[in-house]
Amino acid sequence: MTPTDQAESRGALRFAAPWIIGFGLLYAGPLIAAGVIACTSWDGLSNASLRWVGLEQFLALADDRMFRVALSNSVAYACVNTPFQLAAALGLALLIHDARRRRVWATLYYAPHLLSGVATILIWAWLLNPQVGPVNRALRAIMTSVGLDPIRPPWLFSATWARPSLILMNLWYVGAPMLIFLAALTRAGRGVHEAAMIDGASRWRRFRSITAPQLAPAILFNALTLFITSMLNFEQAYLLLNWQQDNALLFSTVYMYQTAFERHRFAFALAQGLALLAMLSLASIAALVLGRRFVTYDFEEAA
Amino acid sequence: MARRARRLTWLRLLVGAGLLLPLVWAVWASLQPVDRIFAPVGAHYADTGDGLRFENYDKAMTRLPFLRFMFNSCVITVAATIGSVLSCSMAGFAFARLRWPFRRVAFVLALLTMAVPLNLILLPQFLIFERLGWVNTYKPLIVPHWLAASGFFVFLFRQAFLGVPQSLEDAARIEGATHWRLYWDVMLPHARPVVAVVAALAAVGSWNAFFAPMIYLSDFETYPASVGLRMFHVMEGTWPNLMMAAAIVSMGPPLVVLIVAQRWLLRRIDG
Repeated sequence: MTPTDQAESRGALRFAAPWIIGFGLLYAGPLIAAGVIACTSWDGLSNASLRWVGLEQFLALADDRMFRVALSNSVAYACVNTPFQLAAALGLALLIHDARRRRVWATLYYAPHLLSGVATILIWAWLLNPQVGPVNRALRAIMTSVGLDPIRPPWLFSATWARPSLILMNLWYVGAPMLIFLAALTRAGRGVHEAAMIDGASRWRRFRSITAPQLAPAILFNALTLFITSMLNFEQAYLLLNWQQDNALLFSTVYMYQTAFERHRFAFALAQGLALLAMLSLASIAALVLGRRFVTYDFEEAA
Repeated sequence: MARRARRLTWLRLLVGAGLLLPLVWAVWASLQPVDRIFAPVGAHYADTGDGLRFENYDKAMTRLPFLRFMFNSCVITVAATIGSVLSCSMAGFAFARLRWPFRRVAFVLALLTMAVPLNLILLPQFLIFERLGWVNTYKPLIVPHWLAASGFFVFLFRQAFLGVPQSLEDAARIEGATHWRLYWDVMLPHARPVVAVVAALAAVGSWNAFFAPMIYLSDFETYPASVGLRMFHVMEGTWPNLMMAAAIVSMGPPLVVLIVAQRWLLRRIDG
């Protein structure tokens, strides 16, 4: 290295420094520390509990009934929630992508996503209140007016309805995947469509042969991110938890939190987190590898 | 064709109205006396004739120190947002325009951090921050944002800076511009749309954050609005009208961000 090169890289490192320190302090350090502490019996409170136990915590995962319950709850929820949110996002995107004031519609449909804090979750908790919530009031009004016996789903207050309630309310929060679909539809352009129309291709035929392949990368990306965020849903489940649900909303992240801060088995909670990270990483890699078979990234060639 | 377009517009309006309904109900409920919300299904509610109860908002702000929670949220959000924009743009500049050892490896690592979900890295980070004595302070909620925690934001800035023509950089260099001048006077102004997007997403993310503040903060007075709202849910469960009032107040800032930043946030979908 010449002296000027050295000077340049010193100057450059000043710009990279926040990220380099951050990588160490926020990712590498914590993950290494988690790996080490997960091999102890630390309770999260006192150093007296810090005793090396090797892989015991990881082996205990297999025997822990609640860990398995939580994991299967999360998987069951994610497997149903993902296709519903995906379909809702795609539906909204297709509904507005050729509208004249597209950005106004997109802003309106995107809004719930940006507002998706504790506030909207608590609003939904009351919307779905079985006794006095407007959803059940509306159900009753509609069903009686057509002469049916009104049903009154207990929504978040039952084991059967708790997860469907979450999936129902999540149809409201699809702004982010909708934007990705919209961007994909925008990029795709209309040239190919016009050519196909001249060749006499029907609407359905054009959707299947042009729009669907153009959307395939966005579908794969959205499906994967929605699956991961569903698997790691904490806020909704934690805020809406109640005892009538018989653990239906005890998701992996909720159990991990309880293990760390309520049952004071911090090391075991870390083992859960690392196991989840490993499982999700493997699932993501598998999805991306399998996805290659169905997804073309080069539209020009595909068309 | 025209009829189809009109039908579609109606459908779009209908869906939009449906998406707004939960918020409309929340506004309505926030202005009602509590017994009106609790009136049994199907019962005819005799209107008290008192009209809208705007005093619910006063009560919601005073029954719990909710204005204090809002102020706390503002402090955290402003600090975190400034940090995100500065640190992520600096890192993006270093990745896009500067040469330094192991740059390529570092960039791959930066991309990999995007695959580490926040909800899973929180507990491992707790180990470190607890050792540093950061529990019950705002540091765990702010400092990460000054250290380019978001690989996604770094990536956005890198892409924007890669798009700056080399000739601009050369011209600045010939005039003797330092890295800092180049970054501040050439690169950042060029990436204004990305600055807006990162600022908006960082601000809303910080404002809505719940898991981290709940873990780190135990002193009631320091709660942000998100954790404070949960207090309404837990303690004041029988006062849904006040909770709705607080919820609506707490949604104000994200709404303002959306309205101000929508032209940049939704730029990618403009054909």
